[in-house]
Amino acid sequence: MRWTRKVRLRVRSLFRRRRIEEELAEEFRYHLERLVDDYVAAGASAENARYAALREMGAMELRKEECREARGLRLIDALRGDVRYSVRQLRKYPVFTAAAVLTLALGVGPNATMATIISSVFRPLPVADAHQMTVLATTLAGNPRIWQRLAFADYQDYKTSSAAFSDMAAWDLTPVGLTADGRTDRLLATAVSGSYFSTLRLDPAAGRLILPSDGELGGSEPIVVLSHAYWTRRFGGSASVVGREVRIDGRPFTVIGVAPENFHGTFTLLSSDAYLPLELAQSSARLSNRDVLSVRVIARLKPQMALGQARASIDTVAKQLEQDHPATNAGRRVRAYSEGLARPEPQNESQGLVLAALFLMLVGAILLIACANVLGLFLARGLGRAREMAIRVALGASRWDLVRLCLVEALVIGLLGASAGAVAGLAAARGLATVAALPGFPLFLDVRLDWGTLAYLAALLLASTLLIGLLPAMRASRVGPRSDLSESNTSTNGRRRQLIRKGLAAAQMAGSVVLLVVCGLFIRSLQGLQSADLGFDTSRVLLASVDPGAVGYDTGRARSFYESIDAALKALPGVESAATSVFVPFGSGNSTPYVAADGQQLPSSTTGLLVDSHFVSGDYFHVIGTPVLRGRSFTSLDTAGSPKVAVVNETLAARLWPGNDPLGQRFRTSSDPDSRFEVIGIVRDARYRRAEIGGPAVPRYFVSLDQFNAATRTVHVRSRSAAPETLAAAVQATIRRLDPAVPVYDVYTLERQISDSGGGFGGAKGAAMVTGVLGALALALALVGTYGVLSFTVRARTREIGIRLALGLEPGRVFRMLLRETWSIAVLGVSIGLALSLAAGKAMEKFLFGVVPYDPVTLLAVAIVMGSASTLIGFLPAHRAARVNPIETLRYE
Amino acid sequence: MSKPTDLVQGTLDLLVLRVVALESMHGWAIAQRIRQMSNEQLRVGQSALYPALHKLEQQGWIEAEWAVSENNRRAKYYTLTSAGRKALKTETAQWERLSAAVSLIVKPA
Repeated sequence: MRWTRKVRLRVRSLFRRRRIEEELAEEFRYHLERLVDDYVAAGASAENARYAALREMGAMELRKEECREARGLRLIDALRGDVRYSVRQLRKYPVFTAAAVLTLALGVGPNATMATIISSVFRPLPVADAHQMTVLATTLAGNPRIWQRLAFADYQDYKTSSAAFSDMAAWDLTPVGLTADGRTDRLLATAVSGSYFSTLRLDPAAGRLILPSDGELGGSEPIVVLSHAYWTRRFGGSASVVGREVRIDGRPFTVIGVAPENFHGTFTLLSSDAYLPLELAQSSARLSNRDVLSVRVIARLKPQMALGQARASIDTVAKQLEQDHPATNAGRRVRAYSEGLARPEPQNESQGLVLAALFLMLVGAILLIACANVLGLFLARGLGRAREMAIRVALGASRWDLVRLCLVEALVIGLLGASAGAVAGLAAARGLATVAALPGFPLFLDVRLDWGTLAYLAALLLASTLLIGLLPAMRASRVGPRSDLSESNTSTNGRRRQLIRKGLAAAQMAGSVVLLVVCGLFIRSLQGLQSADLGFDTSRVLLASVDPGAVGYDTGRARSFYESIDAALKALPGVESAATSVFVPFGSGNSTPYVAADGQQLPSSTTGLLVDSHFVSGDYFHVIGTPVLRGRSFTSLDTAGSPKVAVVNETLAARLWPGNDPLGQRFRTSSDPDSRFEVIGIVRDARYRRAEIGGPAVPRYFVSLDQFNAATRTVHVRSRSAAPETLAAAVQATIRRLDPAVPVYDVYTLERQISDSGGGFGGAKGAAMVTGVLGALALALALVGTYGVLSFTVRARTREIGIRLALGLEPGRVFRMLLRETWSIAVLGVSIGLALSLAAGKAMEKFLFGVVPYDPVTLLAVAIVMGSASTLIGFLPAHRAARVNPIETLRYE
Repeated sequence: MSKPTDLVQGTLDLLVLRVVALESMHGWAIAQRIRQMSNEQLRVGQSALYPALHKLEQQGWIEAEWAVSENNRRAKYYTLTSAGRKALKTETAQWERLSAAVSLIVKPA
């Protein structure tokens, strides 16, 4: 209460200045009048009374000044004067101002972009007490991998047995087709347990949400909750949508409500459009199978419960489950992660946070480099202003007055530069969030300026103001009244000043070396990935995903639909061959059952071999270019009724039947425990996951889509020409002609899928591009700074050089002398930079692929770039110095 | 008129708070009231009074409001705030301690 009043009074002092002055005058006038009245009452004449009263009041202006001081107005007045003076000064030297502001904006901009993006990734869920939200994930003893899902049965046991949580919910993302008014949208939906919204403690924006009373699995009633964004986008935010019937994957569903605004689901980076009961999205067989990790789990910690306690309580339950269900739960553990930090999903050693910190440090380095440049500008100008400062001191300015003036000037520049940088940076973040669409991944980033980001930027502004203003301020405070008035300034005196400036230039170079090395390491990782032999032919293949299930095709209809697609595509003139598959290489979808050779124990997580399984059509291997080494691929003879057959890769063959001929052998899988698969062919090992590159291939088997049902498939089309993307329109038109209602989406080339997707090399590529831009920016800033220092040195030493030349020094030696000076800066900067980048490289080792953090190629390349760039930059000033005319310089002054 | 140095440092604040605690009043009236209450012993001139008032207002112990005075002119009236009431209590206690201590020393035994 009191401090708000104080703030109000301060603000009033700042902005209602005239009003305060008027009130002060009126208050004193009133006092004067009462005095006059008194004297008149005592019998004095009007004139005498007035005279006496005025005398008694004394120095009224002085009193008023004391009142102003009591109100803290004096400092405000002084600051106001400083600001006014700074602005005038900055307008008088527009080039200096523009250079300083622009440089600072370039430094702040990347920070604003990075902070906004990081903040949008790590923004707390819009739920009450978001800090209580916890994510559970499954681990296996002795295995560093984290599985993002729990077996549903395990989830139920943790929900009932663990005392650490007040509530717990199971969910998973599932793509669906929603049809309303004859139009079908492909949506990303969240299948939720009945406790989902109550765990999050959310209230509906309209209608109601799915409730625990609907059933533990969300109930079997076909009900759907729309996201606020989709509701607004598709139904114009109309309340009448509640109670309306829509079709989801062809089945009738009732819209029961709308989720609150700003809630985009519980998977960061993706936005959920709808919520429907888990029971309708997954089969009960899958949910009840303890060996299938089927659901993601979010839980709410009880108040005052620490994460550590929760982990201990979970471990107790895990050990109990291990005893009760040894076949599935031996060695299985569940670990709790704070939801706000485990973005987008729990990872080992909080890699997301580490990466965020790393990038913040890199952009911070750019700001430091920019600040060093601006500081250089201020110092150079400070020399020219020494006289002005001396005059100010002579006129009675205190040391504090000078320091304050310098800091205010830095603050004005800082404010201008930081605001410009923040605006540009925010725009860039918004641009990035929309442009950085990954193939097959509808990236969603809620990019907006929040208080946290604003506070971070304000802290950066203050820090850079101090960096820029403190040194000039300290220097100004040392000015004596006479020192600089007496003689003109050639500034050959300041060896220390030279050192500071060279140190700054070297530090800038060191900073840009770090950025360039980091960029180089990412580029080398990307090269390593791109040059790896994937075991299939990535060129000339176009992908197109098709989802007839979204409009209600049953499995039989879907199968004949794909047969027609297959025939129609193969008839297209530019198409060499075509096949379908459920998953794409380096895609986000996968199926990883456990397998065991027939005759062994039924495969489970404890008894089987974890493998990749793929569902493909007969021509798949031909289209993707993986040779069938022995046996055959699927034919039309392999049908739903015939014995189940599989094609395995070399690794799986070697793992299941070492030393034996795998052809004709049979195996069983945990996902289809009643079937036995006969091996009919062996294909060459191919790399479908990033983790496989540079290491052993994952054991993998393929089964025929003719023997399994899958409505959502991706068509692989091999084109005759080298540009498969030119087929895109024809392929889409061909499928649409067969049924215009069926959604066709994610049409792009296999090469793009591999190079740009999150499962492929998109992360490495993005990191290389971002650090490339940052590195180039840092290098440019550092070179400008170094150039400034060098030309300043030359200017300051003109007389000395003139004398040396007059005494017979060859111009060539002057040239070399100055170039050596450049190199000394560069060598110092590059060595410090390389040392620092070893540390940076070590910190980002986890994100590198096939390259060591001290990669000699990268380090050497960066050293060469820096060496040649600094030589180039040093050339001009050195050249100028060598051409100094000794007569002229000696005549100067 | 007596100078502010006649008063012990900080005492003026206490007097002002005490007087304003009675009712809200303007600067002139405060000076008059101090004079009356002290049996004409203490005279506070505007030179000390107004800076003190502005300081107290800035501290949030009193707040100001413009109103029409007894002689039909606009005057700035000061009122004690709840924070001021608290301050008055502690300042009074402190003053009593101080004056008792001084009396102990000054009074002949």
